[in-house]
Amino acid sequence: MASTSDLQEQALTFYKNKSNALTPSQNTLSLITHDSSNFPSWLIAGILQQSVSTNNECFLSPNFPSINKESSPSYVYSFTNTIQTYNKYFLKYNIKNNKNLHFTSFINSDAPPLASWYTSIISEIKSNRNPVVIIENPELVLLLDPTVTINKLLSQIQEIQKHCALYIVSTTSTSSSFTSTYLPSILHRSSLIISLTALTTGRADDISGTLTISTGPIPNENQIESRQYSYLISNSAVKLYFK
Amino acid sequence: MSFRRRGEIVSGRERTPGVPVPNVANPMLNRSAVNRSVRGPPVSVGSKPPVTKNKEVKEEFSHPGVKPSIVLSHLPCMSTGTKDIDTILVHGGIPMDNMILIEEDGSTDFSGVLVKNFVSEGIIQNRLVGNGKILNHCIVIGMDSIYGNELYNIYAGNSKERKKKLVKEQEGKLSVSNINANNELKIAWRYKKELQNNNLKEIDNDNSKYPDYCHQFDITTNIRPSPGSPEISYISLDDGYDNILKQVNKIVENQLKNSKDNNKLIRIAIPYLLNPMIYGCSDELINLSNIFKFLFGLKKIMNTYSGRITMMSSISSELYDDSNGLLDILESMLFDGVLRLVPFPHELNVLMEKVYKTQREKIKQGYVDILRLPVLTSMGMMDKRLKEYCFKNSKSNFHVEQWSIPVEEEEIVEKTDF
Repeated sequence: MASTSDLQEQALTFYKNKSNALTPSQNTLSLITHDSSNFPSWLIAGILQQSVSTNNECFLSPNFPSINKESSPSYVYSFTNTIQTYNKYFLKYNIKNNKNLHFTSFINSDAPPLASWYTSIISEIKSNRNPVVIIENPELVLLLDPTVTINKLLSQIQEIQKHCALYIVSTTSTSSSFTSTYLPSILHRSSLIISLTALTTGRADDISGTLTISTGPIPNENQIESRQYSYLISNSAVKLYFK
Repeated sequence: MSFRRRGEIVSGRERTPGVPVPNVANPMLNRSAVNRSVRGPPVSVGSKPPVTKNKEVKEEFSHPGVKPSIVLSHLPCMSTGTKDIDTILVHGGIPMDNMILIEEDGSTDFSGVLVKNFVSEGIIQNRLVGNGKILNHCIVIGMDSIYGNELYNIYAGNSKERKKKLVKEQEGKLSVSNINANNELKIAWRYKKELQNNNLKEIDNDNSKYPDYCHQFDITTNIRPSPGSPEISYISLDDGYDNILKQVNKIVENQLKNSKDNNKLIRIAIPYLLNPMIYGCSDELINLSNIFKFLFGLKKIMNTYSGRITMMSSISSELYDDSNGLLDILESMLFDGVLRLVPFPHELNVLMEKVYKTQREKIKQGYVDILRLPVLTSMGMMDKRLKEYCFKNSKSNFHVEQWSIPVEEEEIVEKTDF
């Protein structure tokens, strides 16, 4: 049986168009799902690296052609993490001090109040050209504010989507009555679905999990490269293999 | 046999200053993430040399209860008060600004012991290292001063160790017999001591570098005098979560902002979270949305005073099953690290009693499952470990080790052919 050491590392791509392998077109919604044990911070760091770069650089797809492109203003809004989670990746891939990268954690004291979270995002991104926005675990709003319904949250997300290329990161491990219909609802509004799952056989030292890329119900102008990868995250690198 | 020249400097093992030495005494420390960092860097896609800021932690803030994380050296950590729990958290403690949840199946109270160790560690550091200064302030939510009276005192050693200590103390005193004995045995004694020291030096390098980071507690003794208001604050649940948050904020502000000592740390403990015995049936206290808001508020306070606060909480996972999703949400979105203690089923206890009839010390009490590791799980490292570790709580130690299934040796019955 082949182990990961026998396999060839692969480059990650969401779209068949290799010049923009990880960045979706404007006004689209892409969904990244994960469970409690495999948060996709490495994937988010890769997406951010490519979107802020001016030459298509990304550590997850290193062999792709170097193309001169415009650096997109990129925004991360997190309800669950602080910059501590990303520090290592941002430093390692030299994007920490990039002027186009903005990180906001709603856990920080200087963050906008939860009641006006989506208006503050819109006001921040509105004036930018082709912004890329990543929102981590917005479903937490449903838990923290009982007045917010799933429909209200979805309409707020849709409002943000009108101004940017939007990634929503959501967990699949909540079976709560608060969020039971949230995930299926947002899934039906996405054009790209990226799901990270832990190994069904349990933990392994040479594989961290499986990443599946699939087309969402909403049509997309870019053709999506549906594929499944096994990935391994170690202290020093991220490796991807075809499954 | 070869000899070195006199003037030649004998080089020791080279070490990077500021990088902690892995605990050699405990083989668990040398697993996974530590090994990964020690191994040669694998060829990575577009990898660049990692940037580390080792000196940042020590130069900006010095506290005897803080040391850098073993895997991410830029993260300062605080001990949980239980050495083996520090070890399985991989960092060597709880990284600052992080919240740890100890879940427990069944009706036992092992998680309560761990939370008490966490609080006791803060108080003991004040008493032993502080020299009159208060180094840690503990905030206990949902408990009163009786909880403080029951905090564990430091372990003084077994009777043999205590006798040895007494003899040592006696030796230090000036007496005729001591002087005579010292003169006769001086060289041999020194030689022996030096040998011992050399052997222990390697093993306890980490301990000697941070000697006051973590202590061993005796759960049959209590800290006396009991900690008072400068060391510990109790917040009652009577006034609701909004008021608790206000009180926590006020205490933290007083302790960190208004205090003359600028190197104080805060330990927040919430023992028996949502236990009906403490939280009762009040709608406000058991409303899930209120709980989430409260924990989110605590997280916000911890991040406001970044690098100064850690939190530990315990919850009975038996009381909250999967139907309302409470544990799922706590595990995936609100707590940074989650451990679960699962006492062994009765059949397994019986089997262990039988197998380890003559080796009682090998009998363990349950599994320690790692559901989430602080920072590392958020970084994407799949470190969920179920039924890989087991624990045993004894008078002086909460011991965690790798689980191995006890094997029953079949009695060889001599068969007689007729």
